Amino acid sequence: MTRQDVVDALVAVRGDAPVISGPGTISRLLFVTKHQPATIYQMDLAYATSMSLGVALARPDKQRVVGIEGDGSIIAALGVFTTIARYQPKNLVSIIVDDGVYGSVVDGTLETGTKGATDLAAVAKSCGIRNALTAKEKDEAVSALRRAFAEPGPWVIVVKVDNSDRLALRDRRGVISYDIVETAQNYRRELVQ
Amino acid sequence: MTALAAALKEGGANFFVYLPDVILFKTYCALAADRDVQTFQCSREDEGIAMAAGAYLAGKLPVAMMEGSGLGYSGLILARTQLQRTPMLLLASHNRVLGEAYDYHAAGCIAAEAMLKGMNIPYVTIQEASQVPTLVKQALVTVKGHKTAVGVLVPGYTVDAPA
Repeated sequence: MTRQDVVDALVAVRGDAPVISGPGTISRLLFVTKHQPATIYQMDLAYATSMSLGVALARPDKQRVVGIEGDGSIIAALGVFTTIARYQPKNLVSIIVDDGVYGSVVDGTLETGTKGATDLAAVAKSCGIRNALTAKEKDEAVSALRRAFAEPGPWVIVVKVDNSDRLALRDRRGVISYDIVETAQNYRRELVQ
Repeated sequence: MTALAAALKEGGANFFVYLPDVILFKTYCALAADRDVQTFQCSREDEGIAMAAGAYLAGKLPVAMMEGSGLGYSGLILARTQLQRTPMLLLASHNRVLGEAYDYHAAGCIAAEAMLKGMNIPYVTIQEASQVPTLVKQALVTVKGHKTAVGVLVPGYTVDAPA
């Protein structure tokens, strides 16, 4: 499964759900595939899921709220799984795009903990998030995302992707034509006004 | 309800995130018992500030409550939320004012004010309990008006007075 497969699966079910996307190629792919105004791209490392959690808790009766970030990013924020488990927001969907490396560093081959023994879905589940799972194939990711948008959450979906496209995607830095200030303002306008 | 909790509500704050702390304990307990506002416990202060920023994106006026040490963890997320022009009140106990009896709070005390200064975030230190209503409400005026974080540093001897 590639990152593009994950983004395509998200775009297919997203509707008008707000999305905060973490640093790196996943933000660029999301923008290029289908930009929607309720999207904050390139959220700083460790905060896409945490900020989305705040959105979800503040509007519990509204549509799904999506945080999507890489394995390196969520590893820097594992405590948030305990907060999600404490409050069980039904409308939160956390997608972890797990390629097992720090993709933006040097040649993108420096490994994260998930290349070894760390199982992020198991971590989330042991924190108390029942709907935490790993999707290794494209059809599993599609199915998981459909469930996450149809059944109460919170959801943590770890999608295992291969890293074959990393160099091609790195050449597309700067492709997002909105800056981080604009996207935050646009996101809020979509939710509040 | 403490005077601090009452001032926060009167100033319009309606979403609170805290990491447990002995000085602000009564305040966030009072807020957690109040059905007019939302109050949540986080696992670390930078996570809490990110949650508070998310609440603003969803239409809330957020407050993040913590020990001063928590501001030390929060440089990157505060930089991001300031760039995004996020209104947010930061309430921090244990800081570089008088009344700190134990040296194990010293590192956090240093970190708190250094972070606010380094980020160019306006802040005020409450000196007496009688200042709580005015300073907290006026801090929230600046938070809303300038769409910025504002720090209010809360020595232990100034809180817990009833409203």
